[in-house]
Amino acid sequence: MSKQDDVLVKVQAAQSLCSEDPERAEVCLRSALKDADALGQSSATLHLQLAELLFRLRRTRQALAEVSEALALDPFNLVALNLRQVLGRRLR
Amino acid sequence: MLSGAKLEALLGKLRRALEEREVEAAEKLFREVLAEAQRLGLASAYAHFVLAGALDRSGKLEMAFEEIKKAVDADPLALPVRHAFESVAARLRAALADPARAADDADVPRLYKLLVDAGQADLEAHLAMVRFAVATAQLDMARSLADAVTTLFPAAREAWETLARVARAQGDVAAAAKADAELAGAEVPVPLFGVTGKAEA
Repeated sequence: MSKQDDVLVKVQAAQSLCSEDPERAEVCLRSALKDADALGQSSATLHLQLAELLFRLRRTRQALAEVSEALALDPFNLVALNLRQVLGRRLR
Repeated sequence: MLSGAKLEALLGKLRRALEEREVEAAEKLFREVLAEAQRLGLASAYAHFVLAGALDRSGKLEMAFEEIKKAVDADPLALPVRHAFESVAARLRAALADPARAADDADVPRLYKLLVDAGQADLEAHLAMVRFAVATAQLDMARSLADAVTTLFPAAREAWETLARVARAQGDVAAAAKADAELAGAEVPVPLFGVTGKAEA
């Protein structure tokens, strides 16, 4: 299994944990992001996934930071743009 | 980072593309956004992903595959993109191996190359290409492929059957007999848990 596959396994684990155990899902996602970084890879989708999770946990500022990372990597991601709007409204 | 009026204009175009009911018009808008993004040095997995979805829904499976490959390249860690890639690849494989497709169908090499280049060709896809090579009298190519398929899938009886057929068509009786012998071996069912004979206390 390649190192990229290891990261994908963590992302998959986070996906299956996110409704029952969002805190553990967050740990998985952050670990996946760290591993991806070590591999020299960046993923708008991973940051967006973490942002959505943090949004559900009502950690708005952290979610906003993640969604900004996602948009820096892929400014055309309309899902991330919509989430940023929602988060902005929540902060006001 | 792209920002300001230029970005807003492109995002407006992307939203219009998503709302457009006319497939050709939507595709044109998506491609304009992607071309501009590319000119600015941006690779948007999202834009490629949504274009792939639009192409897929309009039945343009091969074009959808090209786009979803670009989305995977742009963001290899995106699970939704990977799932879409697997789904389109599976339907391309099914289209290539469709029993209703004539062996000498001119689309076969193109579909096969698409799958091979993406590392998505399976046994059926390789066999479809061998059948094409035989049907179009390219026996040397058929033989090379059939040999390779038996290396890749040594336990697959279809692989040995195909190699035997190709070797026979080439007049290579010895190779055909050898493939037949391997075929007989491949037909022996493998015990599920490695236990042969009757278990006794």
